[in-house]
Amino acid sequence: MDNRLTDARPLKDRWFSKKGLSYYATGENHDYLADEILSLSPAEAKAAMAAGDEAYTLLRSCARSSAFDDARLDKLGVPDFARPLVQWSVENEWDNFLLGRFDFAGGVDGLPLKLIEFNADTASLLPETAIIQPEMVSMAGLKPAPNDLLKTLEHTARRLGGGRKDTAIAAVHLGSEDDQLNLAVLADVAREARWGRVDNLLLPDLDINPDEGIFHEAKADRWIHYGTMVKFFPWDFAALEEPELWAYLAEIIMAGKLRVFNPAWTMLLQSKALLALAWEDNPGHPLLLPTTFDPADLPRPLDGYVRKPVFGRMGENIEMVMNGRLVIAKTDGDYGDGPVVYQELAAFPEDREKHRYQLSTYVAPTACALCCRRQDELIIDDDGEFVPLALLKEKVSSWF
Amino acid sequence: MYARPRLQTLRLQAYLVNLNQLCTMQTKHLLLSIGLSFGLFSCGGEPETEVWQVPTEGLITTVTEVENDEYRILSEDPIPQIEDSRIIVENMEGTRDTFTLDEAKLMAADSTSTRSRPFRSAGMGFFGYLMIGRMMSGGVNSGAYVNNGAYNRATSTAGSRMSNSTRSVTRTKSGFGSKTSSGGKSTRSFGG
Repeated sequence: MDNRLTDARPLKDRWFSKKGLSYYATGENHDYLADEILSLSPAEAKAAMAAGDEAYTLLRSCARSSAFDDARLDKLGVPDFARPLVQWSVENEWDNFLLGRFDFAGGVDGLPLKLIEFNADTASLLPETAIIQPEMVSMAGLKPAPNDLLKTLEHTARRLGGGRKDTAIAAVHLGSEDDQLNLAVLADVAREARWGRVDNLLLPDLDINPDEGIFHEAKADRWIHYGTMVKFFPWDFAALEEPELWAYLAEIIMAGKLRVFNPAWTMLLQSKALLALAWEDNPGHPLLLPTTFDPADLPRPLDGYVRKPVFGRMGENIEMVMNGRLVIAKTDGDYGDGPVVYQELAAFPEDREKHRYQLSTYVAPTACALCCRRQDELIIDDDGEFVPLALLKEKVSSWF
Repeated sequence: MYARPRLQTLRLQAYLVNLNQLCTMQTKHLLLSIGLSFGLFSCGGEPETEVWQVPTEGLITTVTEVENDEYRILSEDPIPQIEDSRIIVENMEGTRDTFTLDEAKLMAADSTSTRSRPFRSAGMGFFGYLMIGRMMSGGVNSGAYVNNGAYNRATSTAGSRMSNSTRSVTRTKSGFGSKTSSGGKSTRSFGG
């Protein structure tokens, strides 16, 4: 592992500020971007990309077969009132999935790639991967790892189209700067794909009329009608914390008055319970970690497992257990109350400073880019570092 | 129990009277008309919805070029169906072009082009309620008409017809997520 790391020169403050990305390099994020670049072998990069495609096929198929099964929907954590929209979405928006990011353990140094989870609904790390990573790798004179993120997103966006010509696109968030910066990447893609006017909007400022659609009063008496929404809050937030929002959106969407990306069936992909159902449907699949609803059902529970909420983010409310009862790592958070799954512990690549590396593959919806984070703790959460990825040149890779 | 978030009341002040009247008279009717089975109004508490009047009938509007690239409304005639609405644009050279409502919406939205001028003028009259969703309580701009005669005729025919045949719709200010967001300041991310 250590022979794959190259020192990375930090980019200048001026570069960040010109790109509007100072957020990632200043204040509490000043050490967020790692000072090293990880180089993957071409075989490793190819395997990680293929794993993204394979995992998407697997989970999508499991989502489809679970969408009309009430017992499975219970396990997935989809409330009753939310099921009609999810099912309608499966039947009418099946090809509208825009972007997701798979996180993997392994994939370097001979360790097998294992799917940890799928960030299907609010896949972040977009500015880092699309803009910062290529610049850092280029400044270091290295060859970039596969990164067609923007091109693939634009291609998909063109296929999906911008909706009714007399409506605009709402890029909706809840205020966090990181969320807005990620959303800005999607907004730019929408503009490049000629979807039309894209407005950055805070969710509470949207006017939602269940008969007509969503609007915003841009100027006095001047209402903009939005026919498409790109959002940076997950469907489970609406279902579990703002059920009236879900109800309004469901009414408008099913009346054909609004398209939302990612579509509502994404809630199935976002639930970690889908990993347990996928394991049930594909036991022993090389890409999947054993994941169950009861630790006693794991094949080797004493070897260690992780307990995680089915809807959780940023490594919150995770518990890592060894020998059946010893909690070796734990994080707090806001997701402690809902249903959980148990996933076998996976082997992460480590360097001599005990950083654990997590590779990720973006699918839009085909595999299009790789990125990586690391942390010197057992659980990778908000304090992880972003590690730019490069590609080892062929002739050098035979040395390792 | 889920608690509705507080809403910014400034924008709603113009509608407070309407809402109070509606609360006492028409709550049930409106609830049915929006097709949802749970209550949206909390009549005793803070207003959470705005009630709009929207047209149910259409218009044929004729605008005429009075000076170079300047258009005024010549006439507005009511017609039963909104979809049959038209804008007829007369140019100084004597040419006449007719546009549908959808075409007019597109043309009006393109503020960078002089071609949008006739449509923006039309939008200041009763056609504005159809084309750009202008609030009907706001009235029309008499200066947008060729003369007072045209304005008075339009108001007493098309305007009167339109106002008497409106229906109510609710626009519900979202407020969703206001517990989580804090008006643009940095908050917890939803990134995964």
